Amino acid sequence: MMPNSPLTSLVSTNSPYAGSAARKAAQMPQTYRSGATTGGSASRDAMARGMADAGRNQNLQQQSEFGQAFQQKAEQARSEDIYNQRNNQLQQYGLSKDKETAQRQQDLQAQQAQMDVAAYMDRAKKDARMRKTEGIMNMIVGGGLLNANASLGLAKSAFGSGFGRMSGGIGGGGAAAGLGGLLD
Amino acid sequence: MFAPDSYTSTYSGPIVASGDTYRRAANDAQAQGALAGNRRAFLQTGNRGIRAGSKMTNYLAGLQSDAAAGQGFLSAAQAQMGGIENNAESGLRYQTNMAGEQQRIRDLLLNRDTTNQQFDIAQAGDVVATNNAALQRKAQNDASNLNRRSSIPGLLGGLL
Repeated sequence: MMPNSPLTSLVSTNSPYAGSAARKAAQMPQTYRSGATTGGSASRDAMARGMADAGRNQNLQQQSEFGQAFQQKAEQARSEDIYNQRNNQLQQYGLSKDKETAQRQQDLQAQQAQMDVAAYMDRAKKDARMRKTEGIMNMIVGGGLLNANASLGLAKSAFGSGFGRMSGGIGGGGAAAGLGGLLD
Repeated sequence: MFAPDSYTSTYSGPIVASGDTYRRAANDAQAQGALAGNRRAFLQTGNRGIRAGSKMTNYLAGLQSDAAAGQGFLSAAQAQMGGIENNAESGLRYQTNMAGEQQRIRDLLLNRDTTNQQFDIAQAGDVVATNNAALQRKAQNDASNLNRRSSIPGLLGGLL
């Protein structure tokens, strides 16, 4: 089966501004503090506080923009990495299937060859047995070992004479029974 | 075959600025921002009359020094974040480089496996063909023997 396990990548998509260090880096110290609620000190305190807030907001904005762009790049890189891994796995899978196919083809070829040889040998044995029967019959008939109306129940004319190929039919079942011992 | 150590990464690690590089910039900027002497520098004492050492002069000098200090602190934060961002970019670059290198190694291994498998399949096919040919030769020999033994001379020879 095609492997379907989740793939992992070296590429991290975490923003560098994810932790407390980021918030700490964005902090802006207030340059002036005053407990007064009236007069110039309070005004100066307010300006310093506003300046610190504006600086912190600017820092956070920069962090947000950078983190966004960074994560986009990281996710794209991670996606490419995962795709490459998956593509490689697919090719490995194809390789294993090629191997299975080749092995199956070779096994079938071997089985086919064995069956062909078995069929060939079976035919050869049957042909040999037939030729042996024919030869023995010809020797018996042609050598005068068999007379007409003999106990084997075979007609001499049915086999002809000499060593020609037997073309006639066997006259009775006795022939096969009588010659059975010679055929094997 | 590959040497056993062929898979060692050629990358040494993320190329990051040393901590001092951007920490120093931040420290310098913060020191500048926190410099108490700023206020004194902005405090004008050279005027005469009603503006000499007035509360307004003092107030304006305070504002100016606060603004200068704020700029210093902002520069410090910016410098620190710049360092963080540079290191993050460098880390990402290292990770993508490593991933690319590992992918190239995987491709090489796939190439090697493909070559080995082609060789193995061809070799197995040769073995099958050789075995089949031997089987056929043996069958032909056996059939020829059967043929000879079943001929008249063969039968006579068998009788003798």
